[in-house]
Amino acid sequence: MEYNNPIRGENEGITLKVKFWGVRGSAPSATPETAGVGGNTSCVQLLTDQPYVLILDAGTGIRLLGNALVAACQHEDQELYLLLSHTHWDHIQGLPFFKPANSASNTLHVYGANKPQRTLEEVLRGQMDYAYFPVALDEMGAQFRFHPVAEETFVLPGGIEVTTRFFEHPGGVLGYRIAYQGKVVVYATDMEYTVANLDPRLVAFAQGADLLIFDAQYTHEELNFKTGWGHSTYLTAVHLAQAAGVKQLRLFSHDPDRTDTELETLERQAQQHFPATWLAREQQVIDLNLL
Amino acid sequence: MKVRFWGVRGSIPTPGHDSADVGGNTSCVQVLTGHAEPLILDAGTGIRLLGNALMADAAASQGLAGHVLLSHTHWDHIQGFPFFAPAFSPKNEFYVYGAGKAEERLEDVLKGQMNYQYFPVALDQMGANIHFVELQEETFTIFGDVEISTRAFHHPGGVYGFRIVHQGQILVYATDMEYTEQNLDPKLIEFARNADLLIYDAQYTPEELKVKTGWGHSTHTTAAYLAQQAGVKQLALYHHDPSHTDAQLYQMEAEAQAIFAASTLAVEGLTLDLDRP
Repeated sequence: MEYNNPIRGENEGITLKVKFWGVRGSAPSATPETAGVGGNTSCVQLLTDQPYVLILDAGTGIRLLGNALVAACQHEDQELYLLLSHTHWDHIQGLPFFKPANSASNTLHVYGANKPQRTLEEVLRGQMDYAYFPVALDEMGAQFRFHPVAEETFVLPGGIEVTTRFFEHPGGVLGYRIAYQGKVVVYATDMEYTVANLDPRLVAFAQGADLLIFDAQYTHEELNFKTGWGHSTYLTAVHLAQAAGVKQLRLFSHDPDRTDTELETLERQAQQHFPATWLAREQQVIDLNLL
Repeated sequence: MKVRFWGVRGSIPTPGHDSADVGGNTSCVQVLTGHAEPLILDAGTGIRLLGNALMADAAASQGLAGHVLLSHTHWDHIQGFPFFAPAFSPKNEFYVYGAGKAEERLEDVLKGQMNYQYFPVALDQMGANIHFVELQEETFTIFGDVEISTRAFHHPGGVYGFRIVHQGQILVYATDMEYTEQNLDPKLIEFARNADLLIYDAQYTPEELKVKTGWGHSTHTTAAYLAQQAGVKQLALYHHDPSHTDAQLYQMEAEAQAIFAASTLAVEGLTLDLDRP
Protein backbone atom coordinates (compact mmCIF):
# COMPACT_ATOMS: atom_id res chain seq x y z
CA MET A 1 0.00 0.00 0.00
CA GLU A 2 1.58 3.26 -1.02
CA TYR A 3 1.79 6.43 1.03
CA ASN A 4 -0.46 5.34 3.83
CA ASN A 5 1.71 5.54 6.84
CA PRO A 6 2.93 8.94 7.84
CA ILE A 7 4.11 7.54 11.17
CA ARG A 8 6.66 5.27 9.57
CA GLY A 9 8.05 8.21 7.64
CA GLU A 10 7.16 6.78 4.27
CA ASN A 11 5.86 10.13 3.23
CA GLU A 12 9.17 12.02 3.49
CA GLY A 13 9.67 14.40 0.62
CA ILE A 14 5.97 14.64 -0.10
CA THR A 15 4.53 18.12 -0.18
CA LEU A 16 0.91 17.33 -0.79
CA LYS A 17 -0.69 14.32 -2.42
CA VAL A 18 -4.33 13.39 -2.67
CA LYS A 19 -5.70 9.85 -2.65
CA PHE A 20 -9.31 9.06 -3.52
CA TRP A 21 -10.89 6.33 -1.36
CA GLY A 22 -14.50 7.11 -2.25
CA VAL A 23 -15.74 9.20 -5.20
CA ARG A 24 -19.44 8.36 -5.37
CA GLY A 25 -22.30 10.60 -4.21
CA SER A 26 -25.62 9.82 -2.49
CA ALA A 27 -25.35 6.06 -2.06
CA PRO A 28 -22.59 3.47 -2.52
CA SER A 29 -22.81 1.86 -5.94
CA ALA A 30 -21.85 -1.80 -5.79
CA THR A 31 -22.29 -2.93 -9.38
CA PRO A 32 -19.81 -4.28 -11.94
CA GLU A 33 -20.74 -1.35 -14.23
CA THR A 34 -19.45 1.19 -11.72
CA ALA A 35 -16.49 -0.73 -10.30
CA GLY A 36 -13.90 0.83 -12.61
CA VAL A 37 -14.36 4.39 -11.38
CA GLY A 38 -15.38 3.13 -7.96
CA GLY A 39 -18.56 2.79 -5.93
CA ASN A 40 -17.60 3.94 -2.44
CA THR A 41 -19.02 7.20 -1.13
CA SER A 42 -16.93 10.30 -0.45
CA CYS A 43 -13.57 9.98 1.22
CA VAL A 44 -10.31 11.69 0.23
CA GLN A 45 -6.97 11.37 2.00
CA LEU A 46 -4.41 14.17 1.97
CA LEU A 47 -0.85 12.90 2.22
CA THR A 48 1.87 15.15 3.53
CA ASP A 49 5.17 14.77 5.38
CA GLN A 50 3.36 15.51 8.65
CA PRO A 51 3.10 12.62 11.14
CA TYR A 52 -0.67 12.40 11.17
CA VAL A 53 -3.50 11.24 8.96
CA LEU A 54 -5.60 13.89 7.22
CA ILE A 55 -8.97 12.94 5.71
CA LEU A 56 -11.81 14.72 3.96
CA ASP A 57 -15.22 13.14 4.60
CA ALA A 58 -16.13 9.72 5.95
CA GLY A 59 -18.24 7.96 3.33
CA THR A 60 -17.82 4.21 2.83
CA GLY A 61 -14.35 4.82 1.34
CA ILE A 62 -13.01 5.53 4.82
CA ARG A 63 -13.48 1.85 5.75
CA LEU A 64 -10.86 0.88 3.16
CA LEU A 65 -8.57 3.72 4.19
CA GLY A 66 -8.85 2.53 7.81
CA ASN A 67 -8.06 -1.06 6.84
CA ALA A 68 -4.98 0.17 4.94
CA LEU A 69 -3.85 2.28 7.90
CA VAL A 70 -4.22 -0.65 10.31
CA ALA A 71 -2.39 -2.99 7.92
CA ALA A 72 0.49 -0.55 7.47
CA CYS A 73 0.88 0.62 11.04
CA GLN A 74 3.13 -1.36 13.38
CA HIS A 75 2.46 0.80 16.40
CA GLU A 76 -0.35 2.83 17.88
CA ASP A 77 -0.85 6.47 18.96
CA GLN A 78 -2.06 7.81 15.67
CA GLU A 79 -3.39 11.32 15.38
CA LEU A 80 -6.11 11.51 12.77
CA TYR A 81 -7.79 14.65 11.46
CA LEU A 82 -11.15 14.29 9.75
CA LEU A 83 -12.68 17.30 7.99
CA LEU A 84 -16.38 16.86 7.21
CA SER A 85 -18.08 18.84 4.45
CA HIS A 86 -21.47 18.05 6.02
CA THR A 87 -23.28 15.20 7.71
CA HIS A 88 -25.43 13.68 4.98
CA TRP A 89 -25.12 9.90 5.04
CA ASP A 90 -22.76 9.54 2.12
CA HIS A 91 -20.22 11.68 3.99
CA ILE A 92 -20.35 10.00 7.41
CA GLN A 93 -21.64 6.44 6.88
CA GLY A 94 -18.18 4.86 6.86
CA LEU A 95 -17.14 6.21 10.25
CA PRO A 96 -18.63 3.32 12.31
CA PHE A 97 -16.44 0.98 10.21
CA PHE A 98 -13.20 2.99 10.46
CA LYS A 99 -10.87 0.64 12.31
CA PRO A 100 -8.38 3.24 13.62
CA ALA A 101 -11.31 4.65 15.64
CA ASN A 102 -11.40 1.34 17.54
CA SER A 103 -7.96 1.85 19.04
CA ALA A 104 -7.86 3.48 22.48
CA SER A 105 -4.44 5.03 21.84
CA ASN A 106 -5.60 6.90 18.74
CA THR A 107 -7.04 10.40 18.73
CA LEU A 108 -9.55 11.38 16.10
CA HIS A 109 -10.10 15.12 15.60
CA VAL A 110 -13.38 15.70 13.79
CA TYR A 111 -14.06 19.06 12.16
CA GLY A 112 -17.41 20.17 10.81
CA ALA A 113 -20.22 22.65 11.25
CA ASN A 114 -22.48 22.76 14.29
CA LYS A 115 -26.11 23.33 13.44
CA PRO A 116 -28.64 25.36 15.42
CA GLN A 117 -30.65 22.18 15.98
CA ARG A 118 -27.82 19.80 16.82
CA THR A 119 -24.08 19.89 17.37
CA LEU A 120 -21.71 18.01 15.10
CA GLU A 121 -21.02 15.62 17.97
CA GLU A 122 -24.73 14.89 18.49
CA VAL A 123 -25.22 14.19 14.80
CA LEU A 124 -22.33 11.72 14.69
CA ARG A 125 -23.48 10.05 17.91
CA GLY A 126 -26.97 9.81 16.43
CA GLN A 127 -25.62 7.71 13.57
CA MET A 128 -24.59 5.14 16.18
CA ASP A 129 -27.79 5.23 18.19
CA TYR A 130 -28.67 1.72 19.39
CA ALA A 131 -31.68 1.53 17.06
CA TYR A 132 -29.30 1.78 14.08
CA PHE A 133 -25.95 0.36 15.15
CA PRO A 134 -24.85 -2.00 17.90
CA VAL A 135 -21.79 0.01 19.01
CA ALA A 136 -22.04 3.57 20.35
CA LEU A 137 -19.51 6.19 19.30
CA ASP A 138 -18.14 6.32 22.87
CA GLU A 139 -17.61 2.56 22.80
CA MET A 140 -15.46 2.64 19.67
CA GLY A 141 -12.31 3.19 21.70
CA ALA A 142 -10.40 6.13 20.24
CA GLN A 143 -10.43 9.55 21.81
CA PHE A 144 -12.81 11.74 19.81
CA ARG A 145 -12.24 15.50 19.78
CA PHE A 146 -14.92 17.54 18.06
CA HIS A 147 -13.97 20.89 16.57
CA PRO A 148 -16.96 22.90 15.36
CA VAL A 149 -15.97 25.18 12.51
CA ALA A 150 -17.69 28.04 10.73
CA GLU A 151 -16.22 30.23 7.99
CA GLU A 152 -12.65 30.63 9.19
CA THR A 153 -9.00 29.81 8.69
CA PHE A 154 -7.18 27.52 11.11
CA VAL A 155 -3.81 25.85 11.10
CA LEU A 156 -3.24 22.15 11.73
CA PRO A 157 0.04 20.94 13.29
CA GLY A 158 3.02 21.51 11.02
CA GLY A 159 1.51 24.48 9.24
CA ILE A 160 -1.26 22.98 7.12
CA GLU A 161 -3.63 25.89 6.65
CA VAL A 162 -7.33 25.14 6.30
CA THR A 163 -9.90 27.69 5.15
CA THR A 164 -13.63 27.00 5.21
CA ARG A 165 -16.65 28.61 3.54
CA PHE A 166 -20.31 27.64 3.45
CA PHE A 167 -21.88 26.91 0.08
CA GLU A 168 -25.29 26.07 -1.39
CA HIS A 169 -26.64 22.63 -0.40
CA PRO A 170 -29.77 21.55 1.50
CA GLY A 171 -28.74 21.91 5.15
CA GLY A 172 -25.50 23.64 4.17
CA VAL A 173 -22.07 22.39 3.21
CA LEU A 174 -18.50 23.46 3.95
CA GLY A 175 -15.88 23.75 1.25
CA TYR A 176 -12.26 23.25 2.32
CA ARG A 177 -9.27 25.09 0.91
CA ILE A 178 -6.08 23.47 2.16
CA ALA A 179 -2.71 25.12 1.67
CA TYR A 180 0.64 23.62 2.54
CA GLN A 181 4.11 24.68 1.41
CA GLY A 182 2.74 26.68 -1.46
CA LYS A 183 0.42 23.96 -2.78
CA VAL A 184 -3.35 24.33 -2.64
CA VAL A 185 -6.13 21.76 -2.89
CA VAL A 186 -9.77 22.88 -2.86
CA TYR A 187 -12.42 20.33 -1.91
CA ALA A 188 -15.83 21.63 -2.94
CA THR A 189 -18.44 18.90 -3.18
CA ASP A 190 -22.19 18.70 -2.68
CA MET A 191 -23.00 22.19 -3.85
CA GLU A 192 -25.45 23.45 -6.41
CA TYR A 193 -24.30 26.09 -8.86
CA THR A 194 -24.82 26.56 -12.57
CA VAL A 195 -22.76 28.36 -15.18
CA ALA A 196 -25.36 31.14 -15.05
CA ASN A 197 -25.32 31.56 -11.27
CA LEU A 198 -21.77 30.75 -10.25
CA ASP A 199 -21.12 32.33 -6.84
CA PRO A 200 -18.17 34.80 -6.97
CA ARG A 201 -17.31 33.61 -3.44
CA LEU A 202 -16.78 30.13 -4.84
CA VAL A 203 -14.61 31.40 -7.69
CA ALA A 204 -12.50 33.33 -5.17
CA PHE A 205 -12.35 30.28 -2.88
CA ALA A 206 -11.01 28.07 -5.68
CA GLN A 207 -8.76 30.79 -7.15
CA GLY A 208 -5.37 29.53 -8.25
CA ALA A 209 -5.77 26.07 -6.71
CA ASP A 210 -3.36 23.38 -7.90
CA LEU A 211 -6.19 20.87 -7.62
CA LEU A 212 -9.93 21.50 -7.50
CA ILE A 213 -12.16 18.61 -6.52
CA PHE A 214 -15.71 19.59 -7.49
CA ASP A 215 -19.20 18.10 -7.44
CA ALA A 216 -20.25 16.93 -10.92
CA GLN A 217 -23.04 14.57 -9.92
CA TYR A 218 -25.66 15.45 -12.53
CA THR A 219 -25.96 15.93 -16.26
CA HIS A 220 -27.71 19.11 -17.43
CA GLU A 221 -30.80 17.07 -18.29
CA GLU A 222 -30.94 15.60 -14.78
CA LEU A 223 -30.45 18.99 -13.16
CA ASN A 224 -33.62 20.17 -14.92
CA PHE A 225 -35.69 17.99 -12.61
CA LYS A 226 -33.24 17.87 -9.69
CA THR A 227 -32.97 21.58 -9.10
CA GLY A 228 -32.69 22.22 -5.38
CA TRP A 229 -31.16 18.80 -4.65
CA GLY A 230 -27.81 20.44 -4.05
CA HIS A 231 -25.52 19.19 -6.82
CA SER A 232 -23.78 20.58 -9.90
CA THR A 233 -22.85 19.34 -13.39
CA TYR A 234 -19.50 18.86 -15.12
CA LEU A 235 -20.23 21.99 -17.15
CA THR A 236 -20.37 24.09 -13.98
CA ALA A 237 -17.21 22.34 -12.79
CA VAL A 238 -15.20 23.22 -15.92
CA HIS A 239 -16.55 26.75 -15.94
CA LEU A 240 -15.51 27.18 -12.32
CA ALA A 241 -12.09 25.67 -13.02
CA GLN A 242 -11.56 28.14 -15.85
CA ALA A 243 -12.86 31.15 -13.93
CA ALA A 244 -10.71 30.30 -10.91
CA GLY A 245 -7.62 29.48 -12.96
CA VAL A 246 -6.93 26.11 -11.31
CA LYS A 247 -4.25 23.74 -12.59
CA GLN A 248 -6.28 20.55 -12.50
CA LEU A 249 -9.93 19.68 -12.01
CA ARG A 250 -11.25 16.39 -10.71
CA LEU A 251 -14.94 15.61 -11.21
CA PHE A 252 -16.30 14.15 -7.97
CA SER A 253 -19.48 12.83 -6.28
CA HIS A 254 -20.51 10.66 -9.21
CA ASP A 255 -24.16 9.69 -9.32
CA PRO A 256 -24.71 6.11 -8.09
CA ASP A 257 -26.45 5.15 -11.33
CA ARG A 258 -23.72 6.54 -13.60
CA THR A 259 -21.80 3.69 -15.25
CA ASP A 260 -18.07 3.74 -15.98
CA THR A 261 -18.82 4.16 -19.68
CA GLU A 262 -21.13 7.10 -19.07
CA LEU A 263 -18.61 8.73 -16.74
CA GLU A 264 -15.83 8.40 -19.30
CA THR A 265 -18.07 10.12 -21.85
CA LEU A 266 -18.68 12.98 -19.42
CA GLU A 267 -14.93 13.15 -18.78
CA ARG A 268 -14.20 13.57 -22.50
CA GLN A 269 -16.91 16.21 -22.84
CA ALA A 270 -15.50 18.11 -19.86
CA GLN A 271 -11.98 17.96 -21.32
CA GLN A 272 -13.20 19.80 -24.41
CA HIS A 273 -13.93 22.79 -22.16
CA PHE A 274 -11.08 22.44 -19.67
CA PRO A 275 -8.39 20.01 -20.84
CA ALA A 276 -6.88 19.40 -17.38
CA THR A 277 -10.03 17.63 -16.22
CA TRP A 278 -10.28 14.02 -15.14
CA LEU A 279 -12.69 11.90 -13.17
CA ALA A 280 -11.88 11.32 -9.53
CA ARG A 281 -11.22 7.58 -9.55
CA GLU A 282 -11.12 5.38 -6.48
CA GLN A 283 -7.58 4.46 -5.31
CA GLN A 284 -5.96 7.07 -7.55
CA VAL A 285 -3.15 9.22 -6.12
CA ILE A 286 -2.38 12.75 -7.36
CA ASP A 287 0.92 14.43 -6.51
CA LEU A 288 0.42 18.18 -6.47
CA ASN A 289 4.13 18.67 -7.17
CA LEU A 290 3.64 17.04 -10.56
CA LEU A 291 0.76 19.23 -11.71
CA MET B 1 -42.70 -18.93 -4.73
CA LYS B 2 -39.44 -17.52 -5.99
CA VAL B 3 -36.94 -15.26 -4.30
CA ARG B 4 -34.58 -12.82 -5.92
CA PHE B 5 -31.52 -11.50 -4.10
CA TRP B 6 -30.92 -7.75 -4.55
CA GLY B 7 -28.49 -7.34 -1.66
CA VAL B 8 -26.61 -10.12 0.13
CA ARG B 9 -23.92 -8.24 2.06
CA GLY B 10 -23.89 -7.54 5.80
CA SER B 11 -22.80 -4.50 7.80
CA ILE B 12 -21.80 -2.13 4.99
CA PRO B 13 -21.91 -2.13 1.18
CA THR B 14 -18.71 -3.27 -0.53
CA PRO B 15 -18.28 -1.79 -3.99
CA GLY B 16 -15.26 -3.19 -5.80
CA HIS B 17 -13.96 -5.87 -8.11
CA ASP B 18 -13.06 -8.48 -5.49
CA SER B 19 -16.61 -8.79 -4.16
CA ALA B 20 -18.53 -7.96 -7.34
CA ASP B 21 -19.41 -11.53 -8.35
CA VAL B 22 -21.25 -12.33 -5.13
CA GLY B 23 -22.37 -8.73 -4.76
CA GLY B 24 -21.73 -5.75 -2.52
CA ASN B 25 -25.18 -4.39 -1.75
CA THR B 26 -26.62 -4.77 1.73
CA SER B 27 -29.61 -6.94 2.60
CA CYS B 28 -32.64 -6.99 0.34
CA VAL B 29 -34.63 -9.96 -0.93
CA GLN B 30 -37.70 -9.88 -3.18
CA VAL B 31 -40.28 -12.61 -2.70
CA LEU B 32 -42.24 -13.43 -5.84
CA THR B 33 -45.60 -15.02 -5.16
CA GLY B 34 -47.37 -14.47 -8.46
CA HIS B 35 -48.95 -11.26 -7.16
CA ALA B 36 -48.02 -8.08 -9.00
CA GLU B 37 -47.39 -6.25 -5.73
CA PRO B 38 -43.87 -6.49 -4.39
CA LEU B 39 -43.05 -8.31 -1.17
CA ILE B 40 -39.63 -7.24 0.03
CA LEU B 41 -37.49 -8.47 2.91
CA ASP B 42 -35.23 -5.72 4.30
CA ALA B 43 -34.26 -2.41 2.75
CA GLY B 44 -30.46 -2.38 2.52
CA THR B 45 -28.81 -0.77 -0.51
CA GLY B 46 -30.11 -3.59 -2.73
CA ILE B 47 -33.60 -2.07 -2.55
CA ARG B 48 -32.35 0.91 -4.59
CA LEU B 49 -31.71 -1.40 -7.54
CA LEU B 50 -34.98 -3.27 -6.98
CA GLY B 51 -36.76 0.10 -6.99
CA ASN B 52 -35.05 1.11 -10.23
CA ALA B 53 -36.12 -2.19 -11.79
CA LEU B 54 -39.72 -1.69 -10.66
CA MET B 55 -39.73 1.84 -12.08
CA ALA B 56 -38.35 0.64 -15.41
CA ASP B 57 -41.56 -1.33 -15.89
CA ALA B 58 -43.93 1.59 -16.44
CA ALA B 59 -47.07 -0.45 -15.96
CA ALA B 60 -45.87 -1.96 -12.72
CA SER B 61 -44.42 1.23 -11.27
CA GLN B 62 -47.69 3.03 -10.69
CA GLY B 63 -50.40 2.16 -8.24
CA LEU B 64 -48.21 -0.30 -6.38
CA ALA B 65 -49.19 -1.46 -2.92
CA GLY B 66 -45.99 -3.07 -1.69
CA HIS B 67 -44.97 -4.71 1.56
CA VAL B 68 -41.53 -4.30 3.14
CA LEU B 69 -40.70 -6.54 6.09
CA LEU B 70 -37.77 -5.32 8.18
CA SER B 71 -35.87 -7.88 10.24
CA HIS B 72 -34.57 -4.96 12.33
CA THR B 73 -33.45 -1.36 11.85
CA HIS B 74 -29.67 -1.58 11.77
CA TRP B 75 -28.29 0.52 8.91
CA ASP B 76 -27.57 -2.31 6.53
CA HIS B 77 -31.26 -3.25 6.62
CA ILE B 78 -32.81 0.20 6.11
CA GLN B 79 -30.21 2.40 4.39
CA GLY B 80 -31.57 1.83 0.90
CA PHE B 81 -35.08 3.05 1.68
CA PRO B 82 -34.35 6.76 1.07
CA PHE B 83 -33.23 5.72 -2.46
CA PHE B 84 -36.20 3.45 -3.21
CA ALA B 85 -37.69 5.22 -6.24
CA PRO B 86 -41.25 3.76 -6.05
CA ALA B 87 -41.64 5.35 -2.61
CA PHE B 88 -41.36 8.77 -4.28
CA SER B 89 -44.55 8.30 -6.31
CA PRO B 90 -47.80 9.57 -4.73
CA LYS B 91 -49.65 6.82 -6.61
CA ASN B 92 -47.90 4.12 -4.63
CA GLU B 93 -48.55 2.72 -1.20
CA PHE B 94 -46.16 0.82 1.04
CA TYR B 95 -46.61 -1.10 4.24
CA VAL B 96 -43.42 -1.22 6.29
CA TYR B 97 -43.34 -3.89 8.98
CA GLY B 98 -40.92 -4.20 11.86
CA ALA B 99 -40.71 -5.03 15.53
CA GLY B 100 -42.74 -2.93 17.93
CA LYS B 101 -40.45 -1.72 20.71
CA ALA B 102 -41.03 -0.03 24.03
CA GLU B 103 -38.17 2.47 23.52
CA GLU B 104 -39.16 3.86 20.14
CA ARG B 105 -41.72 3.60 17.39
CA LEU B 106 -40.71 1.91 14.16
CA GLU B 107 -41.96 4.96 12.30
CA ASP B 108 -39.69 7.27 14.30
CA VAL B 109 -36.63 5.12 13.62
CA LEU B 110 -37.30 5.19 9.87
CA LYS B 111 -38.02 8.91 10.00
CA GLY B 112 -34.85 9.46 12.00
CA GLN B 113 -32.82 8.07 9.12
CA MET B 114 -34.21 10.91 7.01
CA ASN B 115 -33.70 13.63 9.60
CA TYR B 116 -32.57 16.83 7.89
CA GLN B 117 -29.06 16.51 9.34
CA TYR B 118 -28.60 13.22 7.48
CA PHE B 119 -30.73 13.42 4.36
CA PRO B 120 -32.31 16.29 2.42
CA VAL B 121 -35.73 14.69 1.97
CA ALA B 122 -37.92 13.75 4.93
CA LEU B 123 -39.82 10.47 4.87
CA ASP B 124 -43.12 12.38 4.81
CA GLN B 125 -41.96 14.22 1.69
CA MET B 126 -41.17 11.07 -0.27
CA GLY B 127 -44.61 11.00 -1.80
CA ALA B 128 -45.95 7.48 -1.47
CA ASN B 129 -48.48 6.65 1.16
CA ILE B 130 -46.34 4.83 3.72
CA HIS B 131 -47.91 2.89 6.58
CA PHE B 132 -45.99 1.43 9.48
CA VAL B 133 -47.03 -1.83 11.04
CA GLU B 134 -45.46 -2.80 14.37
CA LEU B 135 -45.12 -6.53 14.80
CA GLN B 136 -45.07 -8.86 17.77
CA GLU B 137 -44.42 -12.59 17.53
CA GLU B 138 -47.46 -13.35 15.44
CA THR B 139 -48.90 -14.72 12.21
CA PHE B 140 -50.68 -12.55 9.66
CA THR B 141 -51.77 -12.77 6.03
CA ILE B 142 -51.11 -10.46 3.08
CA PHE B 143 -52.36 -10.66 -0.51
CA GLY B 144 -55.07 -13.01 0.82
CA ASP B 145 -52.91 -16.12 0.56
CA VAL B 146 -49.41 -15.33 1.83
CA GLU B 147 -49.05 -16.21 5.49
CA ILE B 148 -46.22 -14.62 7.46
CA SER B 149 -45.07 -15.70 10.92
CA THR B 150 -42.56 -13.74 13.01
CA ARG B 151 -40.28 -14.78 15.86
CA ALA B 152 -37.67 -12.80 17.79
CA PHE B 153 -34.11 -14.10 17.81
CA HIS B 154 -30.74 -13.23 19.30
CA HIS B 155 -29.06 -10.04 17.98
CA PRO B 156 -28.00 -6.81 19.71
CA GLY B 157 -31.22 -4.79 19.89
CA GLY B 158 -33.23 -7.79 18.70
CA VAL B 159 -34.13 -9.20 15.30
CA TYR B 160 -37.16 -10.85 13.74
CA GLY B 161 -37.11 -13.91 11.54
CA PHE B 162 -39.85 -14.33 8.92
CA ARG B 163 -41.50 -17.61 7.91
CA ILE B 164 -43.53 -17.11 4.75
CA VAL B 165 -45.98 -19.77 3.58
CA HIS B 166 -47.67 -19.64 0.18
CA GLN B 167 -49.48 -22.49 -1.59
CA GLY B 168 -47.77 -25.05 0.60
CA GLN B 169 -44.27 -23.68 0.05
CA ILE B 170 -42.22 -22.36 2.92
CA LEU B 171 -39.56 -19.66 2.88
CA VAL B 172 -37.67 -18.84 6.08
CA TYR B 173 -35.63 -15.62 6.28
CA ALA B 174 -33.41 -15.65 9.34
CA THR B 175 -30.55 -13.18 9.24
CA ASP B 176 -28.54 -11.23 11.81
CA MET B 177 -28.71 -13.75 14.58
CA GLU B 178 -26.00 -15.31 16.68
CA TYR B 179 -26.13 -19.02 17.31
CA THR B 180 -23.58 -21.80 17.22
CA GLU B 181 -23.84 -25.56 16.74
CA GLN B 182 -23.57 -25.88 20.53
CA ASN B 183 -26.24 -23.36 21.46
CA LEU B 184 -28.70 -23.66 18.61
CA ASP B 185 -32.07 -22.41 19.87
CA PRO B 186 -34.77 -25.14 19.54
CA LYS B 187 -37.15 -22.29 18.77
CA LEU B 188 -35.08 -21.47 15.67
CA ILE B 189 -34.98 -25.10 14.53
CA GLU B 190 -38.75 -25.27 14.91
CA PHE B 191 -39.13 -21.97 13.02
CA ALA B 192 -37.05 -23.24 10.09
CA ARG B 193 -38.61 -26.74 10.12
CA ASN B 194 -39.17 -28.25 6.65
CA ALA B 195 -38.61 -24.96 4.83
CA ASP B 196 -38.25 -25.25 1.07
CA LEU B 197 -35.66 -22.50 1.34
CA LEU B 198 -33.85 -21.23 4.42
CA ILE B 199 -31.99 -17.93 4.02
CA TYR B 200 -29.61 -17.75 6.96
CA ASP B 201 -26.91 -15.46 8.37
CA ALA B 202 -23.47 -16.87 7.52
CA GLN B 203 -21.41 -13.74 8.09
CA TYR B 204 -18.47 -15.22 9.94
CA THR B 205 -16.12 -18.14 9.80
CA PRO B 206 -15.74 -20.02 13.10
CA GLU B 207 -12.32 -18.35 13.56
CA GLU B 208 -13.81 -14.89 13.12
CA LEU B 209 -16.65 -15.66 15.51
CA LYS B 210 -14.10 -16.27 18.26
CA VAL B 211 -13.21 -12.57 18.24
CA LYS B 212 -16.69 -11.37 17.32
CA THR B 213 -18.79 -13.18 19.90
CA GLY B 214 -21.71 -10.99 20.89
CA TRP B 215 -21.76 -9.09 17.59
CA GLY B 216 -24.93 -10.93 16.61
CA HIS B 217 -23.96 -13.12 13.67
CA SER B 218 -23.55 -16.81 12.86
CA THR B 219 -21.17 -18.86 10.74
CA HIS B 220 -21.63 -20.84 7.56
CA THR B 221 -21.12 -24.06 9.52
CA THR B 222 -23.91 -23.16 11.95
CA ALA B 223 -26.11 -22.37 8.95
CA ALA B 224 -25.45 -25.81 7.46
CA TYR B 225 -26.01 -27.49 10.82
CA LEU B 226 -29.31 -25.64 11.30
CA ALA B 227 -30.43 -26.61 7.79
CA GLN B 228 -29.73 -30.25 8.65
CA GLN B 229 -31.48 -30.14 12.02
CA ALA B 230 -34.54 -28.38 10.59
CA GLY B 231 -34.79 -30.68 7.57
CA VAL B 232 -34.91 -27.87 5.02
CA LYS B 233 -34.71 -28.55 1.29
CA GLN B 234 -32.27 -25.77 0.42
CA LEU B 235 -30.04 -23.36 2.32
CA ALA B 236 -28.89 -19.94 1.08
CA LEU B 237 -25.85 -18.54 2.91
CA TYR B 238 -26.58 -14.85 3.40
CA HIS B 239 -25.32 -11.58 4.91
CA HIS B 240 -21.73 -11.92 3.78
CA ASP B 241 -19.05 -10.10 5.73
CA PRO B 242 -17.71 -6.99 3.95
CA SER B 243 -14.16 -8.30 4.36
CA HIS B 244 -14.90 -11.56 2.52
CA THR B 245 -13.83 -11.66 -1.12
CA ASP B 246 -15.60 -13.72 -3.77
CA ALA B 247 -12.88 -16.37 -3.46
CA GLN B 248 -13.32 -16.67 0.31
CA LEU B 249 -17.09 -16.89 -0.06
CA TYR B 250 -16.86 -19.72 -2.64
CA GLN B 251 -14.60 -21.52 -0.16
CA MET B 252 -17.20 -21.05 2.61
CA GLU B 253 -19.90 -22.34 0.25
CA ALA B 254 -17.88 -25.50 -0.38
CA GLU B 255 -17.35 -25.98 3.37
CA ALA B 256 -21.08 -25.59 4.02
CA GLN B 257 -21.88 -28.06 1.23
CA ALA B 258 -19.65 -30.64 2.92
CA ILE B 259 -22.01 -30.46 5.90
CA PHE B 260 -25.29 -29.84 4.07
CA ALA B 261 -25.17 -30.60 0.36
CA ALA B 262 -28.05 -28.33 -0.72
CA SER B 263 -26.22 -25.17 0.40
CA THR B 264 -25.70 -22.26 -1.96
CA LEU B 265 -24.35 -18.75 -1.61
CA ALA B 266 -26.90 -15.98 -1.81
CA VAL B 267 -25.59 -14.09 -4.84
CA GLU B 268 -26.83 -10.70 -5.97
CA GLY B 269 -29.12 -11.06 -9.00
CA LEU B 270 -29.74 -14.77 -8.32
CA THR B 271 -33.33 -16.01 -8.42
CA LEU B 272 -34.16 -19.23 -6.57
CA ASP B 273 -37.32 -21.11 -7.46
CA LEU B 274 -38.82 -22.95 -4.50
CA ASP B 275 -40.46 -25.37 -6.95
CA ARG B 276 -37.10 -26.53 -8.17
CA PRO B 277 -34.55 -26.74 -5.41
